[in-house]
Amino acid sequence: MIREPLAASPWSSATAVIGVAAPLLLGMAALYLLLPRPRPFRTLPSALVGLGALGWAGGTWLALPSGSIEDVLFVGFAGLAVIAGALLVTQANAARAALAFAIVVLSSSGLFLLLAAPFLLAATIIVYAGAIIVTFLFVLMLAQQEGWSSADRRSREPLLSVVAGTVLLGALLFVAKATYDTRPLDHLVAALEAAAGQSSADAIRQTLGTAYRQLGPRTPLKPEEEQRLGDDGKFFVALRQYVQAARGASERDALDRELEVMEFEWRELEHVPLMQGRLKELARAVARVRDGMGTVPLPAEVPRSPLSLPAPGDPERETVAPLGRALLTDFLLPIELGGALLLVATVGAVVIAGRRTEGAR
Amino acid sequence: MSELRGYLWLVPGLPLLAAALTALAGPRLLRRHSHWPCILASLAAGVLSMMVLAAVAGGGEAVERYDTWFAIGGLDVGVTLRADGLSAIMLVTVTLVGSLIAIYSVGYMAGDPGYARYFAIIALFIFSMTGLVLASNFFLLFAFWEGVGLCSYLLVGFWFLKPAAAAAARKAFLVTRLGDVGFILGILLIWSGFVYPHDPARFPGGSRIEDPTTGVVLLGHAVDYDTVFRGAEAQAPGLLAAVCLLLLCGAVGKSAQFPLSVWLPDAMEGPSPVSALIHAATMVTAGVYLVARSLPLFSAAPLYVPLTVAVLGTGTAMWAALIALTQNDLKRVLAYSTISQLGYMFLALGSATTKGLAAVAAVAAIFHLVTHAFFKALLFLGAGSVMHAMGNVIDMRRLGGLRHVLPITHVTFLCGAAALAGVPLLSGFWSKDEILGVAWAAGQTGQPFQSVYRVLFAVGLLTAGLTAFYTFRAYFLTFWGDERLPPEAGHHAHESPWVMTVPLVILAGGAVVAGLVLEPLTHWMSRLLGEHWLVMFGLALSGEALNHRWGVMALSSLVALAGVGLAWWLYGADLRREMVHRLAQRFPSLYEASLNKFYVDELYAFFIVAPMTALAAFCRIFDQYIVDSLVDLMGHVPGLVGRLLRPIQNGLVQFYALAMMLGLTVFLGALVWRLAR
Amino acid sequence: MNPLMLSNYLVVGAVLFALGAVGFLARRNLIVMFLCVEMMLQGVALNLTAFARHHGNLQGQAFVLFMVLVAACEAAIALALILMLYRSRPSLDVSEWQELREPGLEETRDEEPLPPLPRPPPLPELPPAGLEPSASRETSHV
Repeated sequence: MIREPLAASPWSSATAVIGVAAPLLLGMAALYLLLPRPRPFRTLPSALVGLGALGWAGGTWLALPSGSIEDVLFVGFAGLAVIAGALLVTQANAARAALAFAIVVLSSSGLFLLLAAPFLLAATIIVYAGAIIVTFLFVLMLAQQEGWSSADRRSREPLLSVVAGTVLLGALLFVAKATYDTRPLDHLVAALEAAAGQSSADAIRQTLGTAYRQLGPRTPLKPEEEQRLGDDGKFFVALRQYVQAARGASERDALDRELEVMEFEWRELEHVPLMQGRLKELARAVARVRDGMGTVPLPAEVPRSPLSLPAPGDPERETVAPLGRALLTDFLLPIELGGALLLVATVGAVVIAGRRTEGAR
Repeated sequence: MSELRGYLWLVPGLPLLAAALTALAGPRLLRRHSHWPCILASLAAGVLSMMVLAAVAGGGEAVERYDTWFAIGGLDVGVTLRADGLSAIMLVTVTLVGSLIAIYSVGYMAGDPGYARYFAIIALFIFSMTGLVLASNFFLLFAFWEGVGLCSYLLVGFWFLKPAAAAAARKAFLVTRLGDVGFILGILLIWSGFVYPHDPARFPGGSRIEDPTTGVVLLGHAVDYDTVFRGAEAQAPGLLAAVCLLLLCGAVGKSAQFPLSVWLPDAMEGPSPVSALIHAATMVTAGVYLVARSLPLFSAAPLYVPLTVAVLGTGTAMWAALIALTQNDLKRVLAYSTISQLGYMFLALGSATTKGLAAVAAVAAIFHLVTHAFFKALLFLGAGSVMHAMGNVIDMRRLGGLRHVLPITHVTFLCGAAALAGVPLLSGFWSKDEILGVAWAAGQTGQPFQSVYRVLFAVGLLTAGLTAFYTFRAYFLTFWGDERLPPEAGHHAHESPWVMTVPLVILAGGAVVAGLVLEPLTHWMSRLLGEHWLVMFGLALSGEALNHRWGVMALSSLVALAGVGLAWWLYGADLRREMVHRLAQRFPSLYEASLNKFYVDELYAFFIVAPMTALAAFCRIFDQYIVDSLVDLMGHVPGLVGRLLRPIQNGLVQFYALAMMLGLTVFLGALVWRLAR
Repeated sequence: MNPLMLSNYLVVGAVLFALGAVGFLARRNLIVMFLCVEMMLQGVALNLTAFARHHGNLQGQAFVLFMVLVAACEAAIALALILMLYRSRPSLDVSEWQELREPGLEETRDEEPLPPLPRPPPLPELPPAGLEPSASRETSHV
């Protein structure tokens, strides 16, 4: 494997690691400070630290290239969900915690909507916000009529809990980033498409050299050096490293072989339409690899009803009807079992809650 | 001889069937009739044995292989039965005496809660004993040998609720096991050590082996009689001597000879018919049978081997007779006399120093075995009859003058006692005379040890006198003198029922005439054994050996009559018994030594039991303080670790969840570390 | 869908999950612990839905539905259990139930004393309703 001073994975550069780890540690520290305890820290500075960590994390963990309305909505819902979640964890008043949970549910429902799952939005709001939280509040009011209980003002092992949560979140972030972070490949696709759009061979090489420089080497290069870089195919060497780092993509190996060929053929290529054609083809291939990252191909023999597939035509617009069809075809037995489970749970809850314990204090 | 194949297996087979039947159906279905399978089977076996005897009497033998027991490597052990003169005469004795005793037991054991069990074991015993006699190889012999040992254990401990009986059974079993260790070693030595010339026709049981040093092809790994005995001459003398002495170990254990004799007197805790059948007439003679069967080995062995047998036998005979002089328990007197008579048989077998004498010795030993089976069974059954009438009292000091109370028992007992004492013309006289004759002849052979045999002859003669004396002492003490009945007998002391007296009468008839008929008149025994059985192993019976030595005969009858007379003079009437007491008081050490069986039990306790106990105590201390401490230490380690970790179990569910999560973080950390590298 | 978004949703789901885990471990109110668990479930649901979108099929969404179903059952049973516990010991503090500890161990108690609560704001006094009040008490009117 070629060892160029390139970021072969998002974790090999120190800034990337710091950019992920620092907001995590900072946020968790803020959470630790905000957890209820007999002698609480001052709330406002801690909350400010937490919000700062959140903003930092939003800057480094998320990929928001386009700034479209979708991204804005995502940031809004996600930030609301996370802030409400932190409130739920740190709020000493249980009733307020329940309301914070309601906000978590509502904002994650907004995220469901962004994910083209309107039925889930409806179901989650109805079941959680409409039923579960109300029941919780009811129980709270029944149980804590005198107001705050002393238990709400203490935490059990706050430090260890936060440490465990930090390691857990760090591991999850690592896996998510290592497996699903497509930013380098996005950048490469964009660079390839930009190079293909140039009209002269020199411009094409210049564009690729610039892209290569942006990818990895720390020291700035002169323009003629950049052109030479584009000339001798170093760009494809870097591209190969990123392609090889893509986890789980099924077309990765084919592209890898193709890039190996490109690395040597590129110097001889002079005909501009031919270069453009090769670059466009390569951009599509890299995009396919990028889209396939982190996927596990379904085994072919899983029987699925044709009714459960998204409707032909526009799958984006119509999701509820296919979901209903899938539930009543592919998931018929689980649905029936789920109904039975609900019934059993209802009966069980009635039996348990309705029992008058003997000798109750 | 082929017609033998059809019924030979039935001789042990029928009693086995009876045993199984009685064991399975006895306690529930047969109950009071549990004796029928046993009696019918042993009678049928007796008839079949007679047929076997008739078939082989004309000279000949049959070896019938019914099945393969096991075959390992070159060793092929078959379920092979052998009918020849020796086994036929033994079969008849065993089944005949066994049948009579089974019939007698119907009366003796009536009303016992273990009635069915008793007859099941008796049938099993007859199966084992006939199998032992019929076996045609050493492994099968050993299997049946242990079978009779098991039956003996079960029957001695028949009343196992009585601590003395349970202890006696254990003692009998363990002491005979001691001898059996030697026996099995001897068999294994025969199997591994004996080699034969490569002649499969002469040595059918051997399998092909090669001498590892010279590469000569040989035969070996044989355990069947034909091969082993035919090849006896070909073995190295040292090996042969070792084999013979090891086999003798087994015989000594089973036949209660000197060092291993301690179990037999204690075995009298069993029911009297058992004492008669197993510990007098049949099982204890298995040792004699073994040596007689292996006589081709013993006579081929160096001379010190038969000398050992003879010295051992004579010493035991004398020693047991001395003990029997002072015993007060009638059955114990008979038990010691059994040991003594078995010693006689060993004396006869040990006198086989030349080939000519070997046959005579075998005839003498087996002849005495047969006659002894009759009169000793008779004596034990008579003693049992006395016990039956006297409420299980057998101490002769508490009995007396029973000849009016128990007339039939008295007469039959007298027959048996006279036969045992060697009163002329009775069976014991003839057989004992033959033994003394052989011993005398062994002293005249010119062999290196002949002077020793002369001493042995003299001791044997003296023992004959002692035998006559103690036998009639017991007889006079029990049946003569003033009439004394123990209170346990109740008011209606009476003669035993007919099922008990009829066997007594039959056995008495046997005791009186069997000797005369079998040998002096017909020489039937000599021909059966000497001419037909031993000839094939090169041990022909010389004609002159058949002639009776009139001098020896006269001497022994004189000694016997002297013993009887002395007993009558001392014990015939109560008045002179005072004199015996004074005699005993004058020589207290001798009297005490005899009464206490020369302290053999005490010697055992000191030299064998005490070291064992000490070793066991040491092992116990070692186990208790060292092994157990180590184990406890091992046990404390988890305890200590647990004490360290105990505070974690604080009952807070949330803390448990935290622990789970922290454990998970370790794995997640490791995972991230691996992926990031 | 732009695959860039997948990792974003995964990150949000992971954050919700981790926050819920911390809350579950640290908070001592049974109800709040339960809410934290539900929040963890929300993170997982977000994850599954994002993957469903990413793969362009509906299995993830169906799975989320079943999760909601089971969560509802769980909530019903858990609340019933909490009520039953509450009847035997009128507190929602999960640390009240620690009888299953090793015999001989001391009960875990909170040592640090709590500061006094700030006085709750006085409730507004409502004008008495019903019969017309007597004149002597008219002076204390708000």
